[in-house]
Amino acid sequence: MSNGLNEELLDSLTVHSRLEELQAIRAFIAQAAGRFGFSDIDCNKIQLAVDEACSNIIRHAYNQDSNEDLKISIIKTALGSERRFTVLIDDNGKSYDILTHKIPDMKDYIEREHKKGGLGIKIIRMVMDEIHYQTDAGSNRLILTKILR
Amino acid sequence: MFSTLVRELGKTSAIDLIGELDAHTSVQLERTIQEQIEKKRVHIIINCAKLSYISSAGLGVFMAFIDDVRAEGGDIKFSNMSDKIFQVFDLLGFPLLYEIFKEEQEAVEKFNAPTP
Repeated sequence: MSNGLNEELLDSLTVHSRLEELQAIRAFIAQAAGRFGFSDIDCNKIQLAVDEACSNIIRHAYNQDSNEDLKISIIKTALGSERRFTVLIDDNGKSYDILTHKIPDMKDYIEREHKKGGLGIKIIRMVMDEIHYQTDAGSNRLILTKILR
Repeated sequence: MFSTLVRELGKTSAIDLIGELDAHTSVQLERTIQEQIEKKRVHIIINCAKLSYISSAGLGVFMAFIDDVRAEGGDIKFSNMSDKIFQVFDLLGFPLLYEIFKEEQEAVEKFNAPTP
């Protein structure tokens, strides 16, 4: 990430690609977001977004191959008086840009289509302020940002 | 960590969710609800008093069963949700689809009320 912002790496965590790791990922995020100054409700939102993103990577990008790793880094940026909490999620699996994903229409979903999946990406988009996705030569990076208000 | 505890209250099954419900632990809940449906126990209350976290994988479990349960004349109702858990339901408009009660007893009474 080189966008001319004043940035600082706060912490990072590398885990194997297993759904069992989601709990550790959430604990890591909750602690960092809490220290950053987010309310409990906002901490839960950030945990939720990262959980949804990681469980997608584990299930789809890596097909639950526990020999693979994903790395989660937390970056603090300041843009003027804005305090930004950014989570980078790096993987080397099958790339999938959640920004191009078609979101289910919730009205249809609630009234007719009671499907099991497909809500994770919607949640990510609803709770984070900015989402970017970069993919380059087999490495993927999802960048999720929430601004402290 | 996650576990479920089923309590039979007359025709109603109350299921306590304990801990964190995510893509890893939701399989356990699927099994629990499936067992109730197989026993024709389709009046289900999900008590969230001890649920500390839910992700879309958890919500997906209820979505997967709700149509079958209602087709059998039953329902899945919820009770004792903390603000944090309610927030996730609310984010996706789920309160339109499910009845959510403050206390479990209210959900039990709703199930026991004579249908008009």
